[in-house]
Amino acid sequence: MVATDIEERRDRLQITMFAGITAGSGGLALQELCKMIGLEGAPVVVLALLSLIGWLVFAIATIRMTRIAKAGGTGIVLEDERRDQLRAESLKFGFVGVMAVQCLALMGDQVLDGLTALPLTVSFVATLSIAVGVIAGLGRFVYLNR
Amino acid sequence: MSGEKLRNTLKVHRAMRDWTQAQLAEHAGVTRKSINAIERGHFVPSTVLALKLAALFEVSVETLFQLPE
Repeated sequence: MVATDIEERRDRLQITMFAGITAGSGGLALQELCKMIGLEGAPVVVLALLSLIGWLVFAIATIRMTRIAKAGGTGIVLEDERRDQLRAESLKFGFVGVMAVQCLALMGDQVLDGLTALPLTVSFVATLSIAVGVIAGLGRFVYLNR
Repeated sequence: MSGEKLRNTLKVHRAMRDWTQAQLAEHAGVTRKSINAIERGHFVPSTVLALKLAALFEVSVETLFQLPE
């Protein structure tokens, strides 16, 4: 297998990982939202299933990605300064996303509490922060690396 | 990424040697996408990589990379 094939395969896997983590962490955050608003039954089960499938897809793609990374031993370059720069940029983007969610949650808590008497739960804000962080970070990387 | 832009003649020199982006990437020790990004002006390489590329084509860095006017 030549370097270009490996690069393209890795890029496709990155998109799969992104899709998996979006479904996994997004599903988890939505489940917490359902709990917060008192919604139970079928929607929660569907979200739990979606989240589980997402994490499974993410895990399989990560394992396959690790196998590809081992191709580095054959002299094929898979990491370089451009990827390092993209990674740093993506991490920054993810961090800004998490901070934005935290700030909005702080403000939203005050507004929601006043309007609906429905305070934001810690577990919802935590899962939402994680979801936004990983989706924004990985999504930014996939976008910049296209 | 930084907003800095750099004009380059990488594609011309590569064509003169009849190298593909993948071949140049292999020689320079970077990924093919990086070569593509440099050629399109989307990525400004480090000094080390610029020197490496210039050495590969046996030209000066200034011949390969120029600041936009």
